[in-house]
Amino acid sequence: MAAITMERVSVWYGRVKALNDVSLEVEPGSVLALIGPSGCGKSTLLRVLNRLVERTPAARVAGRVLIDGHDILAPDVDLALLRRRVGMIFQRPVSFPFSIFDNVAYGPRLHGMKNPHQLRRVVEGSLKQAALWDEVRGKLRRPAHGLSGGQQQRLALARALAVNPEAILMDEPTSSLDPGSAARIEELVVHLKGQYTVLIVTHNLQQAARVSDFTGFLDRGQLIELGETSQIFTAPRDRRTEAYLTGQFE
Amino acid sequence: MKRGRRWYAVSAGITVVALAIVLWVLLLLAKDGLAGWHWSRLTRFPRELRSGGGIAPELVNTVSMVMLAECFSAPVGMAVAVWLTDYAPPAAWVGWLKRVLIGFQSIPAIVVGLIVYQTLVDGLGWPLSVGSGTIALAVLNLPAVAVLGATVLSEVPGRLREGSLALGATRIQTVWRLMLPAALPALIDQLGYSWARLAGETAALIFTAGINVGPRWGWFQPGETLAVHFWYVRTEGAMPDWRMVAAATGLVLVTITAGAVLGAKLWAARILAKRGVGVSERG
Amino acid sequence: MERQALNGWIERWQARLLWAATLLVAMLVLAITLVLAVGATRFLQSRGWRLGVLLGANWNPLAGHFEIGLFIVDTIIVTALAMAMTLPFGLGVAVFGAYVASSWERTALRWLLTVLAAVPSVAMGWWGLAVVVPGLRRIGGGPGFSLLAAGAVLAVMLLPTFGLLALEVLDKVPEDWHQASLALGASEDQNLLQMALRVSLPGLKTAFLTAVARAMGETVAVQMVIGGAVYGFHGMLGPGATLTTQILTDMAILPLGHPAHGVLDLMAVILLAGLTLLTIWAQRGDERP
Repeated sequence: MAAITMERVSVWYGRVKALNDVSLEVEPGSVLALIGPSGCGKSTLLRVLNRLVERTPAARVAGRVLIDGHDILAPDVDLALLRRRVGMIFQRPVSFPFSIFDNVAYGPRLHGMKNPHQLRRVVEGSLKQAALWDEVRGKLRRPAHGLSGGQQQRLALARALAVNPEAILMDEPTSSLDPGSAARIEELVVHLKGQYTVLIVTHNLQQAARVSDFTGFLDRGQLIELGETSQIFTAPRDRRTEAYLTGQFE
Repeated sequence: MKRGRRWYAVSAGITVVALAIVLWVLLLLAKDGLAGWHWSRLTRFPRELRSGGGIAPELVNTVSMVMLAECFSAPVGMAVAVWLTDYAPPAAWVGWLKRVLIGFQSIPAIVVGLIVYQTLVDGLGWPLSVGSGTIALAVLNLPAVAVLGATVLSEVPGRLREGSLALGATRIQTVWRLMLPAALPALIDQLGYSWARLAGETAALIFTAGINVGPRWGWFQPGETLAVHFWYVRTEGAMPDWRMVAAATGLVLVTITAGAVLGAKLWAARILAKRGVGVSERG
Repeated sequence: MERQALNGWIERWQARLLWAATLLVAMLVLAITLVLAVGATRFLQSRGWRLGVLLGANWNPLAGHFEIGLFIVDTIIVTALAMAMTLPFGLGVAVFGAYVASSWERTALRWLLTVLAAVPSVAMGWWGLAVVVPGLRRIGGGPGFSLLAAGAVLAVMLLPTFGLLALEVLDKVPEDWHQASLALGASEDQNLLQMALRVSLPGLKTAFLTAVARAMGETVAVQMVIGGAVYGFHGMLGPGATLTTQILTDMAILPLGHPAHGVLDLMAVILLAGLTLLTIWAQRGDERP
């Protein structure tokens, strides 16, 4: 579990400002949902936290981001270590064209785990945590691409959990899945609460309401409002939040 | 150097070395070719035993033979490509035909030369000539056009094709009005490359087009090309200035091939730019 | 309607023309194979189907000995030398072009490689005569004309083609996969070695085998620098002769009508058989995305 603090974070892509002076705090072990219209900077915010934002050419980040008190934007930060502590799940399920086992073992192997018994234990544990074990037990050597979309997303979650992260970033993890698979992912998020700090970006307002402790509303790169989920959904303080939640936005 | 990026730095170093070596070939050719350069080389006939010979007939032969070979092999090859992408039944033998064509794409040029030599020159009694050489080039080019054309056409998104058919267009209308225009830039790109490849061909021509030129151009006149002349002069040339003649011929040849490739690429890029697609996106 | 009838007629005839073109090319391919097969069979028959023709190294047309084993071995050696030299360079160029270069560098590199890939092989042979052969003579002694020289010339010739093909393969690895791999804490090196290159392996194999096919089939660039020695094996730094160069040389020595002309067909058949094996190998298991 990690405590995350952002202080006046801004991101530019070239001359376009994608994130504008965002400050927020996330309590350890809680789930924060980020909602807002397309292109409001939600995904950018997630990608600042594991510094994947730097892969975009001409991206520039200003401000301070603290994870457990350490400034992760400092130039001497060990990116591998940071990303190991902050896992990420993407919109489209990503499985490498390896076997199911090799997919989950990818992370631990990166960090030097070679012992086959140890790897097996980690893979089994992660698959159980991601509620995929019962479906793939005995088929670990089969290619991951044979799994359904929902299974692949849970496989991605297992792969992220296998490196023992403290926080998990989820970028619209259910938007490409059917309702049944989406519901299973949601259950998992609720289940992970308390063990991991979770930031989840979603277009699905009901989902945000169901899984999160806190909700933040972003618009055009600005964090308009952040509060307890029940408060945001029942009594938003800002008019823009209210307009968005009631579907009258723009 | 950033930690954990060692192989990126290595790859950059390798790229510099690799490009330097290949450019060495071109720069040396340019240096030697320009050393004794005179524009009259482009207008004179070659001389077997005296200095100062030119490459005018070779230049004419190269351009005319490549054009004729393309005129035959490009339409026929594209017809095969269209048939393979849009008309072929889903039968096993079609798969085999594709595989065989892919295999024949890499048929050694010398083997094509051997076959044309045995059938046309021996079988039909044709002389070593422009005609035999042109046929050899066309045979060499056919499988390549068919395979690369089919690849390019199959990259036209299927939904465009289905949309056109759904609107009531016939199959052949879809091909002419949609598929070929959509694939045009990529096809032009390929045409430029195949032009360069044929112009630079040597092995298939030595025993089909021959190593001599005639007093005038003709289908059954000897048909030595620039590439063959380059090879012949460098390995067997008896004129006193063979060094200069060889390098000058090579320089003209490389200029032609590079021109064909770059010209086609620029043309294709212009079409894409008119359609509003950036150059970099299509590479 | 008149018009509809006309359209239908055009449609049918165009389809027939396309089919005729396909048939023509199929027949052409068949004819090539048949001519070579007949020539090779006749030659083998005249030799009493002795295996020594393929395995032996006794090549002496004047004495009536036509054993092509040496040329097969030299072809394999030259190809292997060329690929061993071109592989690291080609991969380096591909990695740089696909993952390291900025957007304009990438475009420039692609254009440059395309132009270089179209440089005629005879120009590479010319460079080999001007640089590689004298260089090897100075360093290694001997004639300079050698299997190693042929391999080096081929390596330079294949580098742009292989580099470009490999670059296209590496470029096809989806950005999502890179992000997923990096998000697990992979360094750029680990991402390259354990993910990108690994998932690109089938495509890289095809690119590699395409280059091998070109190396095996190249004639003049090799012929200019290999020395054309047909008696015995002289080592990497000694001269030799490959199947392609020997076909070229002997088309003049064994004219049509010569009883042993068929040995040229046999050499061509062996080349094609080798290329067929490569093609089959390249296409096997290449169905992955």
